[in-house]
Amino acid sequence: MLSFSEFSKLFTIIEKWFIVYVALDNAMQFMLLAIGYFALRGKRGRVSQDEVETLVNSPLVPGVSILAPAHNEELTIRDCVRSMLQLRHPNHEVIIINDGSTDRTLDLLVDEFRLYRSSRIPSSSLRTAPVHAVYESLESTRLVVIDKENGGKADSLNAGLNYSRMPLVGAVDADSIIERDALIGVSTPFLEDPDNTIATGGIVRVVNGCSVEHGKVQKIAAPSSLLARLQVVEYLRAFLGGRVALSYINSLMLISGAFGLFKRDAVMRAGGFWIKTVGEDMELVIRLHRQLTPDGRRPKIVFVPEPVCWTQVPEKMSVLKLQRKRWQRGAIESIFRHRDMIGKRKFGSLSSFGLPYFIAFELFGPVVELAGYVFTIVGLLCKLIVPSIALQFFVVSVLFSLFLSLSAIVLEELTTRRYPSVMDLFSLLWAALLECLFYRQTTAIWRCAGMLDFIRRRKEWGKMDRRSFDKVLAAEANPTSVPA
Amino acid sequence: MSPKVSTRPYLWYGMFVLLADVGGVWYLERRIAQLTHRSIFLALPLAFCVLHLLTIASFAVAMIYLKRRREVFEARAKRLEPKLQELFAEHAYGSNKLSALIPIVKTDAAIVERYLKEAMISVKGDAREHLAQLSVSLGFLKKWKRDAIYGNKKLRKSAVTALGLLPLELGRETLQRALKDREPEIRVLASRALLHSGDRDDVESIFTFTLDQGLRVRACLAEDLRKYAVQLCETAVPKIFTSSNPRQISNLVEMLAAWRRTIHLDGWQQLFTTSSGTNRAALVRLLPYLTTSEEAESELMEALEDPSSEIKRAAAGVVAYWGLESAVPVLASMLKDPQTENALIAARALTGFGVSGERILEAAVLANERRASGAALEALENFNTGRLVGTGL
Repeated sequence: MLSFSEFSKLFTIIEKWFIVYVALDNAMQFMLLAIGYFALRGKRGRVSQDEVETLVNSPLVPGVSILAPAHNEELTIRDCVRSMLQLRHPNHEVIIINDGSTDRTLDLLVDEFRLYRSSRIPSSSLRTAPVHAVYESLESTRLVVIDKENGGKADSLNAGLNYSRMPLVGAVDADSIIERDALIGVSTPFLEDPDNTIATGGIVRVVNGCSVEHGKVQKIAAPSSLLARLQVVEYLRAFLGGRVALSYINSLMLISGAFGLFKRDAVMRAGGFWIKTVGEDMELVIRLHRQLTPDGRRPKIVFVPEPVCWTQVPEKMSVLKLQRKRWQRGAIESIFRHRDMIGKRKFGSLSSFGLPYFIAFELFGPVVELAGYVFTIVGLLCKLIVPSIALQFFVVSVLFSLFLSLSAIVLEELTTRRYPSVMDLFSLLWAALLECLFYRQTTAIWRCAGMLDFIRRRKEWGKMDRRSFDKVLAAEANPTSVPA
Repeated sequence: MSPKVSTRPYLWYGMFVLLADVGGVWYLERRIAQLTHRSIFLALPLAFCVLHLLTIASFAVAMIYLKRRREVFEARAKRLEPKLQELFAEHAYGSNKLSALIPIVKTDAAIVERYLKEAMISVKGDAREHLAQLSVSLGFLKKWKRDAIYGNKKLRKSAVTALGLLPLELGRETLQRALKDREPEIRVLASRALLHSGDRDDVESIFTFTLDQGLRVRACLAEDLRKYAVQLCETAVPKIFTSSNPRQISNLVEMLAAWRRTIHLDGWQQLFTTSSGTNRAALVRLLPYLTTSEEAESELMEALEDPSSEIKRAAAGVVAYWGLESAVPVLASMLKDPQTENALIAARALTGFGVSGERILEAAVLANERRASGAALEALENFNTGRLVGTGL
């Protein structure tokens, strides 16, 4: 048993390490934000509307197969498929993979798009759950639907890869809406550096609060639900701060599963998506970093901040909790599988900065944060910490977090400027303040639970709560009228 | 290919920001340390947070102010729009409205500039000449020349677009300088302006310039250059074909294929024998636009049996397009190729041979070979449902 003086000594040592960790974490985030700011401001090569008009008719733009796995998506599937078919691109096909849905997803697709059973054969042979049938549409030559047994998202994407025929493949969520010109935008890095670019990802934004008609976002507005608004701030921070900077130093480890584009042959060489994880998007991107270009250089994986994919975010705490646990579990599974890359010079900045940073501050961040709260309470009870110092420390953490969130909103306004109304801006600034007071702590608890799930080897996906896009709109207009 | 940009101003700017930041944090830290417990651990981060929060908050306030200002600007522009449009229309068709416009320029130059550009886009010939002279008289030409070189991306783009609407002698030098801009889009705009108002030499130099650019610029300019295909095939194309730069030749073949129009080109046979890999595949795809099936038959039959799948697939497409009956047996054997994509291409090509192709495909469907029968069935089905377009193969 430790004596009080020994305990006090140990406490002081831990306290110092804790402070060093927090200082380092904040310094890193500040640095990433600064890089992100300069990368965004000086970003070359954004595609303007005039350029899009030219590129959508150019035969030199490489074709894209969009793969969208769908499991029980009857509420949103028609709008999403319509939005994908309306994408402006000279040569794209849409492959919906019905992953053993138990609702009317397939029936709705068959009726809406006049599907017939087709003889399309796979052009590659990644192993997947059995495919029952392939359908093509009498209405649109671009649409293909694969009906298969349930095997999970990664398995569905592999099935889609087998049936895809274009040099680029896009992985998207079937509950998301992609802006009409986003596909051209996200293809641009492949036009700028066709030899070295192997994957690109676009920004994902929150559709809650926006009005959607016929698979198209008509009016952009901040959501009225506080939980959704908090996630808007969180998404802006993650995408405009972190990912822009990590992409700038070619250490991007995550291209969101909701909207990413890959070179098909690179994905096939890597063996397709890994089905034993719920973080298949992150795992694939890390695996792609292992490949080298024909001239022996590291491939480029690029984040494009402007093309937009709109996605529904949970408005219920229980659903959000499941999602965050799953994300954390997926991240750990991916990192754990590729832990051998850390410190190896041939992987460049990814192994020397990206992976260590991610492990130290993204994976273990929530654990240290929660431990910090417990540590402070114990310190206060044992009178090892002066209350005013603890208060100052808390204030510093909150202020820094607030600074990061506000910076992300300012970055958004300086670059893409998506929210037209001043009131939306105010509501986001208010959400940024609230985000660091309780939301951050709550998500830290959920992320720790995700880590526990990984240790316990839990594999379930969890059920997401979906609403049709019309209902999202209706709920925003009249929050009390929508059933829970 | 983007020009080198001096990083020195950015370095000075960065150093200034850093010094101001460190100085601000140091000053605040001392003030906070005096007021609180003099803890080195907390006074410093607190000072850091307070300073940056104040900075970002002032940014946020500025941002809200700018947003509001933009709203006011748009409202004012909307109010002035009918009046300006009327004045520009009258000026374009001969009635001098300079004196009426000068007072408006003094108060709302940006709005006048916006609608003047719009007006120039919507008219041609003498009307545009009149408006171009008006832009010189109102001082916009000077501004555009300055912006095209020293402005930020948005200003440079807008200025180059505007200069492209003026007679070339007014902005040629600036446009040629804009060809070296670091932004691909501005290079495209400058190229377009020079192409559309320039002479034969300009067209040739822009064509050569385009072939040295990245895929993005090439993709954007392919259609613009297509209009000058005949002229270019007489002069610039043969020169490039005989050059020793394989990258440029490859880009040239790709560009010619993208034009999708018949062109006359002497000496393509020689290039066919010297090229390899991707260049040869691109040349094969180009054959229908270069020559007749009789002239190219031997090269095509050779390409059909090339070890490279890329060349083989390109040849399969071309023989189907021409309906070269002598290629049918080769396509029938390609149907059993171990690579599914080759089998699919062969099957698709066979649908182009009418009854003889269909018979081979039907036989393959009934045969006991999984890949060949699958490919044949898919091709027949696509042929019958009209889905052969856009499969990307």
